[in-house]
Amino acid sequence: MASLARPGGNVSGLSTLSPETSGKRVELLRELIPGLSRVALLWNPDSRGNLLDYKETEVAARSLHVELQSIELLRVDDLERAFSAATKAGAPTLIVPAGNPIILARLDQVARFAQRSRLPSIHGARQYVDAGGLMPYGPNTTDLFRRAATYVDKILKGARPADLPVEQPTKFELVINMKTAKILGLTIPQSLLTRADEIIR
Amino acid sequence: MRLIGLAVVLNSRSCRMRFCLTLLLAIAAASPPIDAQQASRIPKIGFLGTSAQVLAPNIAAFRLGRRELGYIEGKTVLLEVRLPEGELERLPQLGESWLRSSRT
Repeated sequence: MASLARPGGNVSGLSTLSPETSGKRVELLRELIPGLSRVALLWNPDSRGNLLDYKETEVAARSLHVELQSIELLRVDDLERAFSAATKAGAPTLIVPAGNPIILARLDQVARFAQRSRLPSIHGARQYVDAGGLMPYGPNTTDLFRRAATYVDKILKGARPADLPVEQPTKFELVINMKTAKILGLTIPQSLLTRADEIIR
Repeated sequence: MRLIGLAVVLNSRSCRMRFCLTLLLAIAAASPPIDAQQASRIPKIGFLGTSAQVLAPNIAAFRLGRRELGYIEGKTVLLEVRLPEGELERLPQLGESWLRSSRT
């Protein structure tokens, strides 16, 4: 793709990349656990999106004086090993960015791991909450998919993907799963409840 | 007939997602101009993604977006969803078989 404004080839669409939300996830966890000193990031160095997430998370963690523990996950078979590494690293919170296809297909496993390890966790995709995850924060993907229909419409009417600029997320959402909070024995601060776009009770 | 591929492109070498991108290119390139004989055929949209658990709300949102633009499923447009349900390495194969079946 030549550029987001003029993709050039036969591919255009909507990007879910929003590395600025990575820093926000560290802030949200620190708001959840005052005095938070460490956070583990479960990510895939093979994913370019995750690489951006890693860099942004690192910057945010440093400025908030939170130590970042990197847990890499490259293959499906390594999921349990990554969980063990996270347990061993001992960080009290877990961030899982969304752009990792291995994780996206296994949100249930990640949510179960976080629950049994009593780890407050935050993921980039809203669906994490349906799997039993605590607190997803990221782009509103249903909004993006709804907007994807306009691309199909334009192409059916004769537009070339090359001329259709790639659009980026404009809406972001924070969802809090109170059922999971209860399992983890967490009290969610009022400030987060007020900020949440949706609260699952 | 027009074929449009809609893929959730996950940029990861480990899952050979680049193939998806190539596939999209192929699909768009395969769309010939609509001639009289083909004009009555309904445009097909192929949807490739990860799993129903992750994508169900998104597929619903995409259908809603189309309805808002005046498309009617089965009458003016067809959506064909292909999800490998966790076996991401099957994505290229799913895309290829969809492409083959749609061209015949």
